[in-house]
Amino acid sequence: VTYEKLRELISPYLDRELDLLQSVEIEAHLTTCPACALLPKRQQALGAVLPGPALVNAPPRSLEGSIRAALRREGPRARRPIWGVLAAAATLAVAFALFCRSSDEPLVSELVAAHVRSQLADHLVDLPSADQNSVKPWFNGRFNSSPPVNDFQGFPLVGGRLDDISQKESGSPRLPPPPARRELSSFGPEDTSRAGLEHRTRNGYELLGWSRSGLTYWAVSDLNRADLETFARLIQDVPAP
Amino acid sequence: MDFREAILLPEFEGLSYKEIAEVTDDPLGTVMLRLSRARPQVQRAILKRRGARP
Repeated sequence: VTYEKLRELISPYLDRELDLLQSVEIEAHLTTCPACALLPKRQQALGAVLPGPALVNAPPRSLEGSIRAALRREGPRARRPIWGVLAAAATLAVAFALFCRSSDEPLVSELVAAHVRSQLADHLVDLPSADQNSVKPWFNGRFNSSPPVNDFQGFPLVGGRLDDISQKESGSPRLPPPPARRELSSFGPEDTSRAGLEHRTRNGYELLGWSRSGLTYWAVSDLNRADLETFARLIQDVPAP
Repeated sequence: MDFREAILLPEFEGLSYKEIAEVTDDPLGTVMLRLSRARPQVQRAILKRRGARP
C-alpha cells in the first residue's frame, strides 16, 4: 500500500468505516508517521468547527434593502425573470397525521427546513425518474400511499424523495417546471378543518396547504404565490384514485 | 458527488459512507476518496479565512 493510499484511508479510519485489517494497518502507520499522526486531531477539530456558528455567513443588513430598491427600480416586468431564476423548488406534502391549524406552524417550519436541506445537499430526489410508472410504485413500496405523480403541463416530474418530518415519514415526488423545479412530499391523514388552500410564508418560501381524499398536502416553493397556486390547482384536479 | 456533498452528507446529515454511496449512487471507494480529499480542503479554507497558516 502506498503512502498516499494510507493517507487517504485515515479519514475513513477515523469515521470507523474501515474493516479490521485496514484499521490495524492505519493504526500501525499512525504510530510511525509523525505527519499522519497529526490528522486525527485535525479531523476532530474540523468536526467541531463545521456545525458551529463561526462559519455562517450573515448577509449585511443593507443587502435586503438594496435588493428591494433594485427591484423597485427595475419595475414589475423585470421581477418575473428574476424570480424565475431564483425559483428552485416546491414541495407538496401529503400528511398522514392529524394536524390542527395551531399545530401547522412547527410542521411548516420542518417542511421548509427539509426542503432547504435537500437543496443544500443538492439532493432533491432519492429516485430520479420522469416516469410516473416508476415513481408511483416506488412510493407505494416505501409508504402506504402515493401522492399524485402526474407529469403536469409546465411542471415535469423529476422523481421522488422520502423525508422524515415530525417523526412521520413523508414522500416527495418532484415536478420541476423549466427553469424552476417543483417537488412533492407526503405524510399524514386529513385535517377536516381545512377548506380550500391555506397559505403560509416562511423564510422567504411560499407554502400552500389543502386536504383531499384523506390526505393533507403542502406545497413549498420559492416561486411566487400565483405560480404555486397554479401548481396546487393542477394537483387538486387530478381525479382521486 | 462533489466535494461539497462529500462534506455535507456525513458532517451535517450524519450519513454513513454506505448511506452516502446509496444516496449519491457512487461506489464506496469514491465516497471515501472524496471525503478524504474534501476535509483537508475545507480545513485549509477555514484556516485561510481566519488568516492563519495551515
